[in-house]
Amino acid sequence: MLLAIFYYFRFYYKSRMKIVLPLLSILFVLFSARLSSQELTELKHNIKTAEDKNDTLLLTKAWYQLGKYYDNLQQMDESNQALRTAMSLAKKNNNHKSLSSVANYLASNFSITGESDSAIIYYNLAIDACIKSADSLKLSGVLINLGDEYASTGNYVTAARHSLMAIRIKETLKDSANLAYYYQKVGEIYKLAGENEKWEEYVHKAYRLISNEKHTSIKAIAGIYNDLGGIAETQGNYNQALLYYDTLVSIGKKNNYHNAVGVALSNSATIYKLQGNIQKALETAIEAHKFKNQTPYQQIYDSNLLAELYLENGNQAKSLKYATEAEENKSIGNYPEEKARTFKILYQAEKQNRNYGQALNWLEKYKQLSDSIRDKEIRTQIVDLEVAYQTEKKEQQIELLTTENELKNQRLRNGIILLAVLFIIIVMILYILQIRKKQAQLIQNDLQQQVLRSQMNPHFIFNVLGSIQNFLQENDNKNAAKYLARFASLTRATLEYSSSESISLTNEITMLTSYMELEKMRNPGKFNYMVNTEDLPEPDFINIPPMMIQPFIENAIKHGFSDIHYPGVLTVTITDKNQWINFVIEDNGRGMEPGKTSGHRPMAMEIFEKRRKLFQQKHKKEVKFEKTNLKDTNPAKSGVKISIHIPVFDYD
Amino acid sequence: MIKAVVIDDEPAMQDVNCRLLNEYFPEIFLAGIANSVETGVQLIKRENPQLVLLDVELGCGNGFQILQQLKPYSFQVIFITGFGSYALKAIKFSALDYILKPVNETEFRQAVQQAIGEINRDRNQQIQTGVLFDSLQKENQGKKLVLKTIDSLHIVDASDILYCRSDNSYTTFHLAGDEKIMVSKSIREYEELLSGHGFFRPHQSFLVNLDHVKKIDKSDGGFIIMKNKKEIPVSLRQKKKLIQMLENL
Repeated sequence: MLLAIFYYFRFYYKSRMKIVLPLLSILFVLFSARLSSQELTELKHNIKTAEDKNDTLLLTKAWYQLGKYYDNLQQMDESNQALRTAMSLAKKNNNHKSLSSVANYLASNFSITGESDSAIIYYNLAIDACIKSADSLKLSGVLINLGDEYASTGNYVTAARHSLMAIRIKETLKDSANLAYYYQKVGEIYKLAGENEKWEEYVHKAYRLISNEKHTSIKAIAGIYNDLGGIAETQGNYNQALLYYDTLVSIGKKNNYHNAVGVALSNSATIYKLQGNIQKALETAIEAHKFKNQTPYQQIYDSNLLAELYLENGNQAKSLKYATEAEENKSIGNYPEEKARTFKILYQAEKQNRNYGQALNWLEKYKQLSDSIRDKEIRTQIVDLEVAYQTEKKEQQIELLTTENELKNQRLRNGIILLAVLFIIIVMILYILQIRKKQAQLIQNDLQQQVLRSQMNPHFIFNVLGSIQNFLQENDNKNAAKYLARFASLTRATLEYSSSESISLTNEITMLTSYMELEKMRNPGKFNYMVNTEDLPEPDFINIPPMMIQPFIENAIKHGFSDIHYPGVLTVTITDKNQWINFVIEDNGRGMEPGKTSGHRPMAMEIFEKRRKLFQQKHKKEVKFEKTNLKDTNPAKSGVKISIHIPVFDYD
Repeated sequence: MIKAVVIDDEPAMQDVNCRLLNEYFPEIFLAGIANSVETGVQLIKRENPQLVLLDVELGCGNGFQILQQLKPYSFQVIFITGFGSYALKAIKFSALDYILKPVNETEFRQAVQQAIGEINRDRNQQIQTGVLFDSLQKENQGKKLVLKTIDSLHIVDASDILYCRSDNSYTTFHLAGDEKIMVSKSIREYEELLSGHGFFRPHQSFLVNLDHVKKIDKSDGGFIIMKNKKEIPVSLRQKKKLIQMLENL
């Protein structure tokens, strides 16, 4: 952040009249404190490294850094040399991005030392590079600098055009960072051009923005207060002006912005002078003059002011002292109006001292300079218009870039909104699809289960019908009728329960019993069955998936009891295992023969397996199943024991 | 001599019933067979039987229409109904007797035996028929219940039943006012009838009218505390279901 502020100061500094905003000040102090010779060796080393690597981009940056370094130490010649090197490298490589930065920096160097022509040339170079690299934000920064520069050379029309363009770009980019500063600068230009109303307008615009202090640099804020003071002064509200300058002093002191304090004091002194309070003016001017790190312009101005005040006080010696001080300032050549003022003071002072020869000398110099200034003013106005025509073309290019930016912004916004909407729609669609998929799967699951449940019945329905037919053929109507009645009740139960997902254990046991009865009747004398439910306190409340046990019983009877020559016994023991119901089906039949394990798989078993899998999928509960050949554990026994754990439905 | 008639629109069923009657109840005289509402009414008017074996689903019409037309009647009815009959619940509410098709001989014999008992005791079914017709209308079903004991017939307002307690195959109804009625039907049957009307079976041996529940004590396995302070145990398996039922009330 510090660096950024620093660069702003660097670029936007310009002082000529009362409006001052010296950049260097405290930041220089800070920076100088941090920079050291150690850094110089480091920077030079970077250059070497970049040369060795043949990396022109790196090299450009390294020279740029060096230039900045020298500038911080106020070694302007070395700084400019380094910057020029960086610039030519950037130009050679068509590196417009670096070119714009370096050119801008170089231009501001010239600006500080008052070499406006060079500054203007380099600012224009920077602008070209900005356009080529389509960097609108940087462009706005350079434009405001150039505007400031033109203002200092008196080309107000051109200055205003450039500055207003800068503002326009900032507004298009919706970048309000330090926008107050821009307004203030434009205001300055209008003031210099004598358009006080516009000056006030823009200063007030800037003033309104400074409440958002995050976006406004101290420099801008100080500038605004300075302007407000200036406005009040031109309106003749001297006390109001003094108040503003007082505020400026406190802002400067609070933020260690000493130059602001110096400027405020200097301006206050001027007010006192206008009010005729020479004593107070002198006191304040002396205070102001104490600030050493001011810009050359400010120094000259302060010296002149002191000189004038001492003159009014009748202290010619002191007056001469300070006027000479101003005259001997090497930068005075850049400020002809102050120079003229100095000449005038010198003439008056010598006159009072009765050094008429000297006085005449100074008077002549003054007249000469005044004329040339006036001529210059006229010429400048002509040049102004000329330059204005030339900048039109550049303006068109800048216009293009700006409108492109506007469009880009819009398109970007639209694009983002569209994407967001699409994204939301996609997410919703995916979500809905997911839900539907799950639903479909559940339905499929259910249907499959249903189908499987009902599939078991035809299988043994035909067995039963066969048996009935048998009875009838044997003329055993009684048994046929009995059998039919039993079958009817079993069918009734099956129909009722096959469509349900769960069945009470009581009903399941009833169905199994009916089934076993039927089988018993079909094969009279073949086997007997027994159902053990001692360990079952609440069969009514236990809900299990229906008809999962029947295939095992069917198996036991069909395979276990086929070809036996002793009465078969089928025991079904049911116990409550809380989350499961354990069915143990034990028969004393043939048992499983080794080797003849899974020859054919009865359809009922397959259905059982399918149901088991579906059940696991849907309810995440396992149906455990275990089959043991009794002979394996006890050679005296024969038969099969099957243990099934059927999960209980939790009420949820 | 007990006179009986069979009203059924299926000849096969007519045959079965007649044969069964003949075989097991030779003392009953089969006075006639009818196969529709009109012929049924005519037959009964003509023969004045004490026992009517009445098919509920009679072609175009139903057995109830015959009863409507003959109100008040003095015979014993045994309904004959197929699977999934809508009327079965109503019949059960009225404690009238029924047999399912195809006929189970044992059930047939039991039903006819019962009917003979009623005929000998000179009892009539008016009250029960009243409840039957009420219960046939969905809005009224579940309001009244007929409880038949060995010696008497009770019509009970379902709302007066506090709870039922079972003891093997008997069920004792505990009514408001400390009245107790014992019937020889299983508690499961009543659970089926009444669970849609605010009754819940918290335990193998209990059926509770939720309207008379004061609160539930969740400690120690869980107890329902009735308004009359009676405590009824709740089985672990039914606990969750009970809580949900109460929440939905």
